[in-house]
Amino acid sequence: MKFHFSCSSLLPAITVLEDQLAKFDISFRRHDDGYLETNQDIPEAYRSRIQDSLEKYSIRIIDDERECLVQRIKNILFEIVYSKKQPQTTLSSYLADRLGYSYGFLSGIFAAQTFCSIEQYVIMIKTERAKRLIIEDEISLKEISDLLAYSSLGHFSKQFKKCTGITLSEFRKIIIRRKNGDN
Amino acid sequence: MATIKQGDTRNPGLKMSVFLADDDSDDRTIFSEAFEKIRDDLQTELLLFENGLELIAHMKSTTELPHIIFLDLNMPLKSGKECLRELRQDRRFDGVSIAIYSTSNAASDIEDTFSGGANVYIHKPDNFDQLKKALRQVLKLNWQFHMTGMNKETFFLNI
Repeated sequence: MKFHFSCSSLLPAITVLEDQLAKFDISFRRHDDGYLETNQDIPEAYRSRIQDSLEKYSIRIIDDERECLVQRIKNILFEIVYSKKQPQTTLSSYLADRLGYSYGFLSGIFAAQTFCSIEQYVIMIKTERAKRLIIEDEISLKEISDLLAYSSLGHFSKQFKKCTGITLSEFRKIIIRRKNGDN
Repeated sequence: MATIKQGDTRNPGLKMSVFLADDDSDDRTIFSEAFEKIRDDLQTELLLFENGLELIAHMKSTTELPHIIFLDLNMPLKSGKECLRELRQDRRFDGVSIAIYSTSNAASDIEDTFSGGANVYIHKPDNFDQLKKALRQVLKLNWQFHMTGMNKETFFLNI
């Protein structure tokens, strides 16, 4: 039997992290945008062992401060795209409020690290979520467009085409052909 | 097989590895020149193959897989479509993106190759600036997918 699954939250990763750190007797506090603060210093000798135990789950400890900040921005963007309610303010002031830096500073660091602007990144993860929802085939295109806060189905389909170079119906056709093993 | 390395000190250790298989030597040269011009962005490494056989043989023997392979469609000995089929049958290469790089922009070629597991379809542009632009777009998007750990199965880009 084949089934599709999607994973849209950090929860599984955090559960794994808690289990692994418990093995080393490390207690910590969890902050809501994807970082942990340990209650004691981690001995240098433990660090690489902890890294190793996390590696098989593709979890990495980020050392670089800029990279950290970029990861926190990404986590918030995922949270926005994958949650049902959209922030009431603009994306730029929402990020600035949550992270305590000016949007100009955040967008500069983000672009330097990822080679892509925050806006482009949001469009990319929105489009990815749309693709997953189309593959799951449980809700209509109109519902997907509403869920992802597009102003209209027309705007959604235009942005999909712009981002992928193919239309929504071409995407569906390709997915069906792939599913049927039609290579 | 030739190697081109590009330097960037911003993210040492993060290097994007790219393979190209194209039987036309002019096209290979143009591709690598365009590739060199986008050095200000990503740190990259390019390996060139003169045909599909060479590419497949290398893929089967190496442990250093590329992030993305550019495949010409019309090649003697082993066509781009045959390479695509062979690569996509091997689960080891699931994480490798495949870009079709072709003079054809027939709708059937585009749909067939996407259905066959290609991630990117580039209609060979007729001018150098367009090629640079397309290449930059492909490499950046592929990098985002890679760095975000997103599923390659739904990575599509048609330029």
